[in-house]
Amino acid sequence: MKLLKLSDNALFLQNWRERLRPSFLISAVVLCVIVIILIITNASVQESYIYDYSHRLSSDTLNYPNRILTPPLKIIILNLAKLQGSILLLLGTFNAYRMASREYLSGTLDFHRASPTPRIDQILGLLFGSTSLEWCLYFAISFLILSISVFAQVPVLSLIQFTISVTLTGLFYHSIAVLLGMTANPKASKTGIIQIFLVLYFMSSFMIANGLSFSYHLSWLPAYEQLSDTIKGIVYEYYYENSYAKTMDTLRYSFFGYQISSLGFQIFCQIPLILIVLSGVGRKISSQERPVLSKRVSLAAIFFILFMYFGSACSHILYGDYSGTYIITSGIWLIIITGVIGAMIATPSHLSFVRGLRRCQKFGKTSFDPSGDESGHSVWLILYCLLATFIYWLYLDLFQIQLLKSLPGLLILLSYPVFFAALYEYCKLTTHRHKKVFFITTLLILWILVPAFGLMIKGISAASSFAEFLIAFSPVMGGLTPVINIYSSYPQLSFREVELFVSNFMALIALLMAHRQRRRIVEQVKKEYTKK
Amino acid sequence: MINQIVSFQLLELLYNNHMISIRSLRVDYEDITAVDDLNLEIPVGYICGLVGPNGAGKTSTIKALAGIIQPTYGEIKINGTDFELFREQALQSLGYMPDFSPVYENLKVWEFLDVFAAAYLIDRGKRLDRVEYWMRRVNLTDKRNSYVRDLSRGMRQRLVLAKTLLHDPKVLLLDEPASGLDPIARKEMRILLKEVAQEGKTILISSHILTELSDFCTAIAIMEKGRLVVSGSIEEIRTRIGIKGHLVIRLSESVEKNMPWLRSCLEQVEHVNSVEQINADEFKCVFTGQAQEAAFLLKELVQKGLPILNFYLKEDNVEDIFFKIGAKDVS
Repeated sequence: MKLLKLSDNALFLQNWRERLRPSFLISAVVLCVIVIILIITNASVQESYIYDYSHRLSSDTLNYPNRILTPPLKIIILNLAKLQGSILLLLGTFNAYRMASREYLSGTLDFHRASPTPRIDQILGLLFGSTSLEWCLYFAISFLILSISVFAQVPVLSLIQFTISVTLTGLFYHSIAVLLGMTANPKASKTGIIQIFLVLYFMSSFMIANGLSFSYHLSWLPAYEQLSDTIKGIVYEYYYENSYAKTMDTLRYSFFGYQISSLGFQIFCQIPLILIVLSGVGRKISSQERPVLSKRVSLAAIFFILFMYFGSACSHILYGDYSGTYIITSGIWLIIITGVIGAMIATPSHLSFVRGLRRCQKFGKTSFDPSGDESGHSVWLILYCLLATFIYWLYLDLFQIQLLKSLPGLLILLSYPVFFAALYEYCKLTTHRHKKVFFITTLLILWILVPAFGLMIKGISAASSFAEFLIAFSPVMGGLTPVINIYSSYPQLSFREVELFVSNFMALIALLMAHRQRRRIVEQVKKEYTKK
Repeated sequence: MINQIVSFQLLELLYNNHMISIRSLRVDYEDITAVDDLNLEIPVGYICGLVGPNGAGKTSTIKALAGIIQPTYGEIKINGTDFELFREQALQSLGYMPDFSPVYENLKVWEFLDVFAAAYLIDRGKRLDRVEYWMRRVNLTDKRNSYVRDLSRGMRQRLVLAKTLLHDPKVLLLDEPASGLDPIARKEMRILLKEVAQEGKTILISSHILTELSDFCTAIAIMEKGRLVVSGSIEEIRTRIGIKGHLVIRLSESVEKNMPWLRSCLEQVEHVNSVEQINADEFKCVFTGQAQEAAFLLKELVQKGLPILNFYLKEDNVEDIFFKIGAKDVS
């Protein structure tokens, strides 16, 4: 309980006082009241119907459906729930980002770093303080909804379930926003706000569009859908019953082919991610120089995301959904993407690496702790490869294909994140490390321009082996080979050999380059201490 | 186990009476080493001036002590508490004030102080009393309900100083506390700091303006290029460099005609060397003796018929010591 003693939490107090000034509070309440009046007026004026086709179950005649009027009070509850979600998830997320980035960019965070307040209190203070106004409005509307529900005869339990669900999603969104705020670029603080909106926009559209139960439950939509079903009542909709939409709706609530409770699944999906994100916030509060996640947590996060994605994708295959192909392909690309992002987190900066080496030299140690921030990412990369192999094996097992048969596909799959990690490390450790353009240009040429050129040549001459060679540079095209491995037991394709050679050769070269840079720095630091 | 560690620390503190203890501190940035193998110990109740040119590593040292930046390595003990092992306990004894203090512009003065009283884990019941007390001490009671954004630069610095002192820390880390202030605000700040220093706190203060430190520093640490050139009490350093101060003598007539005679006369006296003319009627010489020896010298000069108008011993202040030792390369 001491954790939630927010009245003694410095960061909470600061944010709370700033955000709940009478002027802000009054204007926010007035605006809310106006919107609520509009919602009530709209529900009273406009009638809302649902169409029930259940009579067709006993007769094949094309009768008109039964029109069922939804009582205005129920419509008001649903619209208030939407308002609640918008306030907490949209405005709350925006303000969490704004306050966190301001705390970091203005430098006031240094005072909190130099205070004896426990880190967990600082995290909670920032998380709840920055969104205090939104939480107040959210709970006020919740109280209003509960009051109306007494008259509207809506089960209180469904409303409580909805509130828990939205609260959880709010915490998830806010913690991401706080983390983004703590990593805001000081040179581009204003564009940061735009960035977060873009991220949120794409996140939400991705979650809704792809129909995966995992990503769907990272949003608040399941909660709203459940509440809507409870309030309006589920009716037999003829077209819906036999439609693809019904399959998709079923898949949104299934994991490894099992139908699961929405709230339970949401808790299972969101709580680990909230903890991972908050651990990142804690690291950023303790020191701005530290990477967002530790090597261990980054691996755990990758495993969790890939496993949850697989569990959701699995249902699509088991239900025979035709979009399963696209989902499996995305799953394979997700392995590459998480590897790339993970490598960016796990690779130490030049400063961190040199500091670690100096510490070793000073205290006569011979090696780093491989999980430390200052150690290279070699051990992390090996563990990531094992983890990716396990996930790839799960996909293969789903189609009853042996891993050994798909070994070339696996090697191609792993080569891209390994290449990226090694090139990234090289660029971070080289003497030209300040020239970020070098890294971006190399990646742009190898992963986009060269394969695009290859595709153009292939368009002119389909049989060109040179074109296949150029295309093999791309992880997008390369990622297709492991997918083909999953879907079919095709005989060896000629381009697969080229891909295998090109991608692994590139990874090897990058690894050697990174190794050379590491050795150079080790020698340099050794020399520095030998002189002393 | 923890009790054992704590009692060991208490014992260590009793035997080793240092409030701030830094061993082998190194702070690295991307391409430079800001602090290199710094060893510094400041005893209880000392006011240590950390001086050095720009880029000497003063701010990095203070930031590492306050736990704001992570040093490459090094052991820091505050009040006998190891910073790395018992960070929160060590921070409880520390008050940190940076040079250009960021503030919460949209908070009122009392709210700002109350926020940091909470950050330093002061009980809710005592928080307001403590806030009121420090507002009085820094002369901000009139501005109690003003927004921080409406305060002048001097007032803001006083507010931040009050914030630094709220939890009654045993150690104060002040990084250029008077930087950017006008002369009046600077004087106000100096008076405040003197008052605080008299309360027996151990203070590590960095400043460019050496005359500011001269008034109340009991020790100095001179840094250059990330290294400590010299540290110790001012008396100790004077003795170490063999210069106590200058003897300034003013005559009622021009020095010119008496100069050769004076030079030969003074150079025969023990503890006196490098006689140098300052004005037409004034000259100074380096004097390494005690007060009694100075009195004896005065008697002798008067007996020799020298028309002495003024005769006083001017001790070296922080500025003099810095220019004698600090303004050289470490090498």
